[in-house]
Amino acid sequence: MSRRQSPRLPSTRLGIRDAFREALVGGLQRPGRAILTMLGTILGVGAFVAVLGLTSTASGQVSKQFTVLQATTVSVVDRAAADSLNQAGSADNGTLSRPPISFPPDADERIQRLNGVEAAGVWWTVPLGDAGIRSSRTGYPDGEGLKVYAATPGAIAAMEVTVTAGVGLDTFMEKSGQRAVILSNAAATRLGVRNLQMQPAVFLNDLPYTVIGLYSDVRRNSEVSLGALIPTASAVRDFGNPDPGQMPATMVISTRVGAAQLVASQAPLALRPDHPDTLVAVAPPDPHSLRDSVSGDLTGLFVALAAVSLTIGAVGIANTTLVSVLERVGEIGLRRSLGARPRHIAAQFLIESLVTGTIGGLVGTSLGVIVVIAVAASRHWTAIIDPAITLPAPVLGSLVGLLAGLYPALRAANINPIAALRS
Amino acid sequence: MMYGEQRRAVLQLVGLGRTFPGPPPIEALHPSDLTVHGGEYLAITGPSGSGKSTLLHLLGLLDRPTAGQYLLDGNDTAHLRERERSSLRANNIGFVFQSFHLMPHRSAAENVELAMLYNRSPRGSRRAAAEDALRQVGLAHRIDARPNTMSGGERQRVAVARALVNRPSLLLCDEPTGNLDSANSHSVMEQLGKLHAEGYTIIVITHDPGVAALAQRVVEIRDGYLIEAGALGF
Ligand SMILES: Nc1ncnc2c1ncn2[C@@H]1O[C@H](COP(=O)(O)OP(=O)(O)OP(=O)(O)O)[C@@H](O)[C@H]1O
Ligand SMILES: [Mg+2]
Repeated sequence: MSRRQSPRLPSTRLGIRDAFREALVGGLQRPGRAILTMLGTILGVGAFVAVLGLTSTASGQVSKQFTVLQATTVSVVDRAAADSLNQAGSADNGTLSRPPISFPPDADERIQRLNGVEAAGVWWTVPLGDAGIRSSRTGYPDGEGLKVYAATPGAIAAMEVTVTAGVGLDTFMEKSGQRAVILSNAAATRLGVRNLQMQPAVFLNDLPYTVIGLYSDVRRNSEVSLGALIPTASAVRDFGNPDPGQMPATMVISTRVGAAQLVASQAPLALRPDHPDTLVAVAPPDPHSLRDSVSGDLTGLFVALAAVSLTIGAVGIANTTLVSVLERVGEIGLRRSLGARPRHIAAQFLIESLVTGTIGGLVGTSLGVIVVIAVAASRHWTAIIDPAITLPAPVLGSLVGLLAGLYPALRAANINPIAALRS
Repeated sequence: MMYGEQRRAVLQLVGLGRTFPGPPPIEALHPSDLTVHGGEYLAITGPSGSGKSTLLHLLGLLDRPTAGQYLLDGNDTAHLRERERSSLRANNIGFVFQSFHLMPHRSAAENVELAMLYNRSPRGSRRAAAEDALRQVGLAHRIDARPNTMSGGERQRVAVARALVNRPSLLLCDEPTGNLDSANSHSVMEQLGKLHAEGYTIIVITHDPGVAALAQRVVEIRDGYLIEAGALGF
């Protein structure tokens, strides 16, 4: 005997539009309950979007403040000198009693060999006496308050000093200890230096230094842009070792992006393999760890809370859908008598919970975005709303609804129509 | 409708029986024979527990027999799969239940439209068909009314409209007046009488001898045995 379907008996079907209409009408019969059911999903998806949005907004602030310049600057400080200052208990030492520089004479070359270093050199504030810098040996102290810095050519390169007239301090002048100076534009104006053709001189503690160049912009250690620069050899010979009370000898290193941490960890040993502990390298904060420390703990906590809310949301939808199945047993029986197959009954309830979850997801996403915008506005931050998170967020609600609807839908599909019609 | 058409057998039971597996097994319907022709109006009566509902569920393809054959519109239903039985329920059978089974939040027309949800009726034509069916049962003025604003008789007539909107070959009514007072019962039975006159094949299951008396033919069921009323000598 044939089990083939008779062509006169076309299978019953439930069109997709009909299915959604039935599910919507069913869900909207009790709007209050529908809203309460959505609450967990709304909270879960909302918390999810808000937390991730706030995290990226906050870390956006961090990276805005944290410039590339800072990220590529390492400084190495002469700790031995600073420690000796503490032991002496006073900055008022004579020239001779100032501690020697812990950096080796070939410090610039040693550091240059490290991977990731672009330029590096030692510099410090020259400990001038009361005479300071002035334009004439006996005249008015027109340079009062101007600072003079000793810097190797490497340090000047690392600071990214822009020479605007004349020449900079080169290796020859450094090695030969020439009495040469380059003035910042600000210092040149104060000291009345205009024309370098005349080979003008300025006086440092009454010693004449020839002005060979002028500079303006200084990217690293911008305090230098208001002073004057001389070779370190000349500085030590004429004015003694650096005064740790003012500023110990310091090395400035400009690194390639991302190399700062590594360079900082290697610098003391590369400079002083015998006594690496006499030097302290200061690296910029790791941008990742900075961001993580801002967001890490809280994000984890809130994402966990959002997951809990979503789970509660799923249980809520599952529960409501199950209650609605049990309330509508008679309706299920009727639909079966009208030709609905078990799959049509399952689809109806599955779509009902899917719609509930999706609406919850949409509302939650909107609320989450509003929270991010409100918080950012109140702190004068730029709200960063990642479409990669925001756009799929409502799908999270749909997923919750779909999962939550599976069990009630199966229950509904398996209800015996005879028993259902009796109710 | 032509006479020849009227004599076509809409349903035919050949040794149809239903035994509920126990323990103890209950033979709710003993193997029975019954033929109902097109246009017949048949009442099935019997005391409580006699097997009326069991028979109705078999006729409505909501249950499967444990013995015998059931042919509906020439289809041997024993050999049909669930999807084909659903198709027969959707197209060939109209149910009227004692408790109406109307959706309380939907209008009369929407309740009637539900009968066309699963049987591939074009969406655009459902509303008009539902209104036609409601006019046919005398409810032209209640098309947009909700069931909770209607009398019991009106509600049952909405259910009748829903049962006949697909023009089924068989109307199965299970205690259609069981929840109605006599006035409302009367309006519903009058309606069934009119449908009989229009050529519908109707089977009514009822306790009520007054209701049974309105049918053209009465079959008694006693302890699971089908007995033609004529055979008892009325
Ligand atoms: N699912 C079932 N399992 C076991 N026995 C059943 C089942 N359904 C019905 N029966 C039994 O079959 C017999 C006939 O039941 P049925 O419901 O058909 O009676 P009925 O004539 O419809 O009674 P009523 O007038 O009270 O509705 C009864 O003895 C009943 O207990
Ligand atoms: Mg019964």
